[in-house]
Amino acid sequence: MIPYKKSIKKVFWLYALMFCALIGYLLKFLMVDSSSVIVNTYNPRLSALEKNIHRGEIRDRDGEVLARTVENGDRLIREYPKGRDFAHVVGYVQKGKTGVEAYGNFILMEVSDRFIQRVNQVFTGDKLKGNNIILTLDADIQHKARELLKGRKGAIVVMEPSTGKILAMVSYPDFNPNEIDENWAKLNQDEENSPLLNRASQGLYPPGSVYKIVTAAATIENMENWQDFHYRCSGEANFKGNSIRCYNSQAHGEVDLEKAFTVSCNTAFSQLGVDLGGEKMQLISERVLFNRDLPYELEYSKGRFALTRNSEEKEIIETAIGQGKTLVSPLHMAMITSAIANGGILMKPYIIDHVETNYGREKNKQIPQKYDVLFSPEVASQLTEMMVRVVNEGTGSQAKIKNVTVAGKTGTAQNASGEDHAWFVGFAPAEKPEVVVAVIIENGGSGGRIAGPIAKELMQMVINQ
Amino acid sequence: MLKESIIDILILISRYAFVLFIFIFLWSGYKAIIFEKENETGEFINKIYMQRFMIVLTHVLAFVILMMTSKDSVQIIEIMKLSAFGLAFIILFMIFTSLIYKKSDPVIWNCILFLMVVGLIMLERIDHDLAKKQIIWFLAGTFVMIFIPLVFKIVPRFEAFKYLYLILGWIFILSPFILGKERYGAYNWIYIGNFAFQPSEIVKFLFIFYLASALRAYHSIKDLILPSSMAGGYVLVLVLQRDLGGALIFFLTFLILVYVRTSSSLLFFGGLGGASLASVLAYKLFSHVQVRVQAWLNPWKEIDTKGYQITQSLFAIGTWGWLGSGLTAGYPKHIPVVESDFIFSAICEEFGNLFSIGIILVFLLIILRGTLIALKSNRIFYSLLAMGAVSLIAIQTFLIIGGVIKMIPLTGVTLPFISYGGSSVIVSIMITGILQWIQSYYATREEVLEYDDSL
Repeated sequence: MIPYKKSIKKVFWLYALMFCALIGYLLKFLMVDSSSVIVNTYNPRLSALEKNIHRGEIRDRDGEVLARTVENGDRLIREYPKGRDFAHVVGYVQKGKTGVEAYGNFILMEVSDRFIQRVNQVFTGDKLKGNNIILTLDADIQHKARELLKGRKGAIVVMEPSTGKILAMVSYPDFNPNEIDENWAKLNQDEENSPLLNRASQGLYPPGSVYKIVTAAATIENMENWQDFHYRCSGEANFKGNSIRCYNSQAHGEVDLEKAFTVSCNTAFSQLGVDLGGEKMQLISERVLFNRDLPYELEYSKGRFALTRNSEEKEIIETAIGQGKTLVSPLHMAMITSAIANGGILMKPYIIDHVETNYGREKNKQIPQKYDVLFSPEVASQLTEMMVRVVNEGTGSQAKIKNVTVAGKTGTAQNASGEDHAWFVGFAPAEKPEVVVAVIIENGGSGGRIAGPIAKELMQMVINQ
Repeated sequence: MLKESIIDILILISRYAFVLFIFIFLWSGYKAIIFEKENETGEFINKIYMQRFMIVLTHVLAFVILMMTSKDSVQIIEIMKLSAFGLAFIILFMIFTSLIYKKSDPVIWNCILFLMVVGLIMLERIDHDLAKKQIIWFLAGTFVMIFIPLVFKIVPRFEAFKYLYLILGWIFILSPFILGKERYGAYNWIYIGNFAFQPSEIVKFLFIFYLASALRAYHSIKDLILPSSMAGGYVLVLVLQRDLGGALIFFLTFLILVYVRTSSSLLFFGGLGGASLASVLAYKLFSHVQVRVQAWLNPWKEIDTKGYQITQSLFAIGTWGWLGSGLTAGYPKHIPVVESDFIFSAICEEFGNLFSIGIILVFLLIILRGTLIALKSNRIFYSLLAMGAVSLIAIQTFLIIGGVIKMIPLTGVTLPFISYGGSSVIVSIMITGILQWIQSYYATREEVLEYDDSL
């Protein structure tokens, strides 16, 4: 064998390897990377498709249509039959895309059963239709929630704790998605009301006393003899020159943790914050997803928490009662509450239940997934017990439902914009939770009095369904 | 509306048909090789005819679609003429190559014909005028190629003229400095009247002749000094002309041929190492090299400017999946320079990615058959020449396909046989002619006594 012929063979194998690498890279691109690449707004193909494809429908869990495309002469028009009810969460397509319209864009434009649809087109002249998206949302609950806001600024999230299904999500001020083109300039410039913002997931508020859930959990976890904790509340306390007052300066007298939680005693919780220290507070807050990405696919804002091991006492005493620099969205609070209701486990919240092809074939069914363990089962059941007391004998009495045990926590959060924000988070029935509700009414005043009854109505509605 | 829907359905079905055609084409090629080994000449010829049948089917189906989707009746007649012209070319090409290149390799002819047909279809889809010109390039290339055996007959000892190749090569490669104009950011084009061509394409041809004759008489490392400096000179000139792809093709072909001749892995990897160092240096020195590398590393950052070409290419490849949008149903015109550098992306888009993988395999089949020719030859000059021809095609194909799928940085070279372009098409056909002449030379003289064709 002449040596150079051996080299020729080696060269051939080198080329074969290089060409296999080409094929391998192409396959990897197609199977792994391409789905995220092609949705880029610089891809002219998607907008070209929009002219020819009948965008799929978005429906609620019972099949009620929330968004559909209708033909008006040659033009295709997107219609939202439920109007303002679903403005934020379903979103719009006319001026950029938001909400489910943005997240599900590719699904709604994707034509399944293409071949049958084409043949059908020959006989009927119908346009090709994209897939439909079926949500976990319920149009009745959503409508009720929006009514309960009664035109007050705020937001409501209703969830199913055992699965992570989001049943309702409303935000006010809102807008009519059917008239977005006409009102665009006004909506976009209204900085005072910011109607385009989905307050439920993007609004960040000081949590006020609903944050005491986290402080209480930190106490149970970190203080071995937390049941022996006692504090004498005189309605106001002084921590190294910084004063903390209870709501209306009410003196709660001798309190233990449970009592302090039930009556929402600020001074006692500030003391707990001092006892725990910044580092432990930071640890548990980050575990319950502050400063972290939330398991949520649509637009949202991350919760913010500022304490560290080096934080000063002034900051700690404020943060322990949900003031200070802490900020949270109603959706985030619903997730924390949902974990407590579900024995400490947070199920991944979701809003798209499944996809349905034009011919009714179901695909991509979302299966409930465990996201993370936020609390141990023991801590979760302790917190539940305390939250039941809040409703039965404490600040949350307005959320009481006849024959159903309700667990909840009120919050009345001081803020820079005037009157306090009214918070309520809770779930029911406490023994076997079916529903979690988080309510905020901006500048609404007392959480128990203003937000509590709204939560009650919604919990009752879900339980009775 | 009804007519449109029927055409739509036809296009949908055609996606399956094209994939089927290319895979039958490849399968027949593979079976032909097996039958050839077993000396079953009849079966071998059957498979060759099957391949030819697939070429004709692909051409006919594609042009039927192109005619049906054309809205303007004048245009339809134009397309019909072009289609008939193309079909005539296919058949004449089949006849003439087997008449003039006696006992040449029909698998290679079929492969390049298939690639040319796919290129023609894509060009007709993109721009009718380009397709019309491309057919003229096909004819010109084939015409020149037909004379190769004659020239070889008159001049029997081609290895004797190494200095002639060298001098001609330098004249051509330096010509753009005098006659050249900028095109697509490179200065490697010259214009004579309205006629533009890329002299580096012609130099490719001279380069493998030079290397084969210079390396033929290799005795010691000293014999590599002159060829290395000449190759280095070419590469440097091409980098200065901003033809990075051309520079890489020349350098790698040189390296491969040196490796074939010397069997020295040390030289090969040493050369690769040296090239890497030179690349780093080039990156530091030349801004146009930096632009290419940055566009490769993160095209999304500057999607409007540097990253525009490659991201548009990726959208075309990724949007439609395995079977593509169907011929005429995609948007290949959104890709810049789609008719030459990015024609592979357009094929991925409209014919689908199964088909484009098929195209890569067709190139690999040419490389395989070409390598066998190099192995058959028992004169080192011809082996080197054949390997040079194979390498030019293989490296160029790898660079451009790898570039448009973002596996490697993009270097603007054409896809042999498929991309639009006179110089590219003519030289690619001529390189194939050289390869086939060597095959024909040995097959007709029965000089191949024994050779080991196992890879």
